[in-house]
Amino acid sequence: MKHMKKIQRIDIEITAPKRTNKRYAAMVKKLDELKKKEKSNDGKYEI
Amino acid sequence: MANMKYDDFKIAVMDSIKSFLPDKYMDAKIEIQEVKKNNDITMDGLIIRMPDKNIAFTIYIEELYDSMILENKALSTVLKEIADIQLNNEAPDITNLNVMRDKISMRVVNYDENQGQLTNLPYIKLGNLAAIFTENVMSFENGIGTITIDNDLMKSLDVSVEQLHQIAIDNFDKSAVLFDNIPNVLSSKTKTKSLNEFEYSPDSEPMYVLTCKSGLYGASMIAYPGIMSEISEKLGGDFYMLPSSVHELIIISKEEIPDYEILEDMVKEVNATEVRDNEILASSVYEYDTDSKALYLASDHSLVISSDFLQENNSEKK
Repeated sequence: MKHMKKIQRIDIEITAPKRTNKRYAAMVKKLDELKKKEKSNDGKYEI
Repeated sequence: MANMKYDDFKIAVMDSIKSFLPDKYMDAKIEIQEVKKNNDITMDGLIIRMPDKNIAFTIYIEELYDSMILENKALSTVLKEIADIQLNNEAPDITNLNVMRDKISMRVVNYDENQGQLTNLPYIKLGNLAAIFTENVMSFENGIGTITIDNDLMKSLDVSVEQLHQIAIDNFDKSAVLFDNIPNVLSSKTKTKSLNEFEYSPDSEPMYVLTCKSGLYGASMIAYPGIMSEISEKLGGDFYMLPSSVHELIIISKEEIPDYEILEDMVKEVNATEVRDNEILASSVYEYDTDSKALYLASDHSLVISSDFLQENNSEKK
């Protein structure tokens, strides 16, 4: 049986700064919302 | 080309890429293969292979499509980028440890979500995460080219998992670690600081990004000695670590948020809405404890990365 040589893959990955920034912005927004919600639930202040 | 559909883009790439390559590529085999990637997610990989070669670049079509849409690029620009990667890079002898030694690094992935791939890879389990190893064979303006070291390649390199780990630590360049607060990272006016340059300011936004210069697989920084201890020194104590994606982590001082559950909700929601499935690292929140110098799951305080694993003297050259 003929020996088949394995094809080795070099994965090319490109940066996606716009997508990355959307993640960061979502984290900041979400934290802000959750902090406000938590404080509101504790009755410390109203949103 | 903002209105082009993904399936049309795939066909256009297949049909047109050869016209961007020199004549010697007339006999090249051009195909789009489904390739299993991080989190065992299948992605479409464009492979351009010369008949006499057993190594080929794999370029992921979804990423190219995203970059075309988000950055409003012309199709011809994307095709030229693919051709440039193909033409400007030579595949090295990936099985020769002498050639590859200084290109080996660690990458942190989710343990449970990668069970399919991990059966073929050397790895170190770190709680609900796993450290795998890659050969970083090239880098270019907006990306990198890597080979994940599988069991066959490890055998060809004639090394053990422990040796791969030590080589990765020896190769680690701490000056490539970026650490800054999110507004600075998002601002086009300020340059993101390295961990060495970062200085804590009590007035700044309390969420910080930990990543690496390339912005790719920056969450792996947590597996290298000295990084988390330096962050805790700079922030003045224990901190939570949010797995924003495999590319970066968000750090927040424990003083800021007394309850980790609020953060876990946040991670789950952002994972569901803003992170591609193959880029998710985890949905758990982690906490670094300054006294024990180790990383734990915030939910049940189970150990993720031990202080032994993170010991600074691991970074001394052998």
